[in-house]
Amino acid sequence: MPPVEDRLNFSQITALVVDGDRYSSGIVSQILRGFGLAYHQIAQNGADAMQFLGVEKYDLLITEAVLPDMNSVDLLHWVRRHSNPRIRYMPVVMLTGYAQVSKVVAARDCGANSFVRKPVSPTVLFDHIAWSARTERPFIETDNYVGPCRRFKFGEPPPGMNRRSTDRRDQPVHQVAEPAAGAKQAAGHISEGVP
Amino acid sequence: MSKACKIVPVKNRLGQLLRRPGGVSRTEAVEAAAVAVETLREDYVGAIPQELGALEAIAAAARKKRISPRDFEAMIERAGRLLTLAGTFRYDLLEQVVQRFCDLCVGMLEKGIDDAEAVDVHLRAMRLACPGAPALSEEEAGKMLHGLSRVHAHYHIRRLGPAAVQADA
Repeated sequence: MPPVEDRLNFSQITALVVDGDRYSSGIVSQILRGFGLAYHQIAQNGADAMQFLGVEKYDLLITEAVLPDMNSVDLLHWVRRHSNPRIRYMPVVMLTGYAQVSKVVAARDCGANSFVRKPVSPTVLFDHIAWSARTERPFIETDNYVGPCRRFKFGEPPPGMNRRSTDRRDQPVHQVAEPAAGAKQAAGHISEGVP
Repeated sequence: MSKACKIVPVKNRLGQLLRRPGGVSRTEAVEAAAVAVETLREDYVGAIPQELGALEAIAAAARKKRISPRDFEAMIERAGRLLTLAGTFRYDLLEQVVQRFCDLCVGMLEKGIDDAEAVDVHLRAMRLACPGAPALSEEEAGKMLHGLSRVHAHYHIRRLGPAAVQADA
C-alpha cells in the first residue's frame, strides 16, 4: 500500500481542456476521467475557453499551444490578467505538439506553469499535476510578464527534466533569472509525452 | 521601461484539493487512465487512414509539384494529429515516419525548398506503416527509415548518422 502522501484526490477537481484536435482532447479527456476528476469541460478554441472560464469555476487549465482561432499566448495573456483571482492564478499545463521552440518560448513567457509534449500519456500528465500540487510558487507580476515564478528554488523542476541527453545535472538550466529567457531553457521545460 | 516586479504569494488551491483524504495512488490513477484511453482505440486507430488521406490531399493539390509554405504549415498541423494517434496507440514505426515527415516539412520551410517529391516519399512510407497495411519486417522497416534519412540528408535537413553512412558504403 503506498503511503498516504502519495495519493491524490481528484474527486473535487474541475478542469478545462482547450484543444482543437478532437483526438488529442478525447485522449486527455479519458485520462482525466481515469484519474477520477469531478468534472472537466472541453473547449475546441480559445473563444469558447474564455466563455467557459467566465461562467464555470475550474481548478486546472490544460491547453494546446496552437489553437484554431488564436494563439494560446493570447489566451494565457487573458487568463493571467483576469480580474478574478481564481482565473488569474489558475495552474496552466500547456500541451505542445510538433511545436517550434519559438512558440514554446512565447507560451512560457506568458505564464504557463508547465509544458507537456504530445502525445500525452497518463503517467506524464499525472506527474505534472502532482508537481503543480506540491510546488508552492508565488506569482510574478511585471509589465511584460504575469505568471508563476520560474525559479525552482521552491521545488524540483517539472518531471522529465532529466530525460534528455542534453540535460546535465551540473548545469542550472532551470534557474531563469528574467521572464524573457532563452529558447534553450524553455525547451528544457518540455516534458516528453512518452513515459 | 519596466516597473518594479511584484511578487504575489498565491494559495495553491489545486494542491489543497488534491491532498484531501482518500484519492488514488499514481499507479492506480495511471492504470485507470490507460484503461479509459484504450476504449478509444477502435475509433481512433480507424481514423488514422482518413487523417493520412487528408495529408495526401494537401500534397496532391500542390500546384506543379511545388508546395507552398501555407501547405507545409497545414500538413504539419495535420501530421500532429497522426503523431498523437500513432504515439498513443503505439504504432511506433508510423510515429517515427510521421516524426520524420514533420522534420522534413519544417526543414523545407526553413530552407525555402518546395519540392513535392520528398513529401510524397514520406507519405508513401506512412501508408506502408499505417494500421491495416501488411506488417513490415524489422529489416524492411529499417530500410524504409534509412531511405527517408537519405532524403533528409539530400536536402541538408539532417545529416546521416555514422550507422547510416556505413550502411550506404
